[in-house]
Amino acid sequence: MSVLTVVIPLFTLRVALHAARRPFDLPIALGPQPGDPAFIGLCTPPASALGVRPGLRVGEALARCPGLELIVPDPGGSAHAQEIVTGRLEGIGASVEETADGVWRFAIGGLERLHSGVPGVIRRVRSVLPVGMDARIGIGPTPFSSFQAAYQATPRSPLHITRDEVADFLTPLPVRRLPLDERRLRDLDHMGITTIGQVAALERPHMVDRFGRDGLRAWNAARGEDTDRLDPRDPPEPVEAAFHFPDPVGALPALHAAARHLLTQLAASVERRGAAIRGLTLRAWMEGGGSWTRTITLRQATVQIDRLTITAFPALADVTGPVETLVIRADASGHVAGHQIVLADPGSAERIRRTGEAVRQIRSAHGDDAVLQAVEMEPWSRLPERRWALVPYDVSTSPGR
Amino acid sequence: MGSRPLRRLDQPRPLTVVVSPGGLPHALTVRGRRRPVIAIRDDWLVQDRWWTDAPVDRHYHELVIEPGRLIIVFQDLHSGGWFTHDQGSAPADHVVRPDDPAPPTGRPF
Repeated sequence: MSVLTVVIPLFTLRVALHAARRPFDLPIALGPQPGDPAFIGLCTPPASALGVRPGLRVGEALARCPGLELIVPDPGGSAHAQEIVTGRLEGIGASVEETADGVWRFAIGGLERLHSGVPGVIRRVRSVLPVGMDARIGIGPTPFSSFQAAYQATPRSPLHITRDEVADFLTPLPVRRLPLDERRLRDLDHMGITTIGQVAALERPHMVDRFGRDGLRAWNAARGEDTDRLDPRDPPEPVEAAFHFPDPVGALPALHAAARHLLTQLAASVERRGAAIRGLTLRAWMEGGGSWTRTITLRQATVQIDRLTITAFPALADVTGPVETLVIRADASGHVAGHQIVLADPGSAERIRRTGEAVRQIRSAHGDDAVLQAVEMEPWSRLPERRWALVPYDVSTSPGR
Repeated sequence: MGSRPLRRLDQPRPLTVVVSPGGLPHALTVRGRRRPVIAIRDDWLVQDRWWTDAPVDRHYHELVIEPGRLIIVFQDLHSGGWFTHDQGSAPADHVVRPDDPAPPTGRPF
């Protein structure tokens, strides 16, 4: 088995820089999210050269590098970009495992035949990777060696390590690359072991005796014999809907109204396919840049709007500022299983059903905008036009249901 | 899947206002008819959203116009134009005299 790994170093930083239209060759770092402790995130190489590193307090980072520029993290943009790359790789026939932000790996056994050998696979992979992100490609006989090959490769030159070459390739690499926690790495350092080759030269029983199961795993990796199995994802069937606010909105009732509107659309779309929603990803693009994202997995796949809103609404309380666009993506890979039904139908359900039918008839005759409801937007605003708005009428939230 | 924008209520609508030499509203044109201003009951400034690219700077006036109707208008101090949030649907019995006391709720903003 050969494994191909794609690595885009500093992926989340690069995505945020791209969104902020800032270059990679200036001292720039990711700032803290609104409300988070004031620590620095990833930083560009010029910032690193001036002593800035992730985890520093903002004040200390600015003291070390007065010209340091902070940009807003964009987790939603990163997740979106990651998803795009994963989808493109799956589009060429790969079963992709995402191990971290900016890291993708997959077995190339089947792809070699599909794309006329390893060079053909590399060519095809490079053609679907984003331009200007310095993506690196490594191929090795095992997941660990493949990742290290990608780490050593350059954007222009993919690195292909064969089984015969793997021991020589891994031997000089620093021991910190091994999959061990900080305490065990420190122990190795105290023992004078600094390279992977030195670990590979140890006796297996010694390694197991000193470091246990993790030690055995690291020892196997050091010898190019790691047995990690790839765990490619099942490609979800995403369905997505977006709501663009004419003015940024921070009021929770307005976000709830927009989310309910989107969930209703998504649930209807998924139900038409005979499927159910297994998970939701809520994404908000904020005023002035930046984004917020939250992924929710449903306990039971469903298309019931009440269950979806009960699950999604609490997450919206964590939105960090005024929202320009709200996007909800549903994973429609669930199946509608048999649900227990109630013995006696409450009267309200029948009233809602009848009202809903009436609304549907009015809309079919006069258009979608024929029945609207007012929701509070920013009731505290001094500007009357920012306090209330009309949204499509929703039977299940109407007063007196 | 498409998206539907929100439709905001109480959007400002442009209004034709004749001002006195002192810059105060003297008469309005409501539904094509000129309505003299009987009294100015109140006026106040609203400055908001100064932290955005579209700051708001308005001078509001609460007016009584012929034949005794209450209306709130404002002048946008950036463009100089006059606007109202009133959608022309004030109830017919909403008639006040110029010397009536101010509403107990105070300023609307």
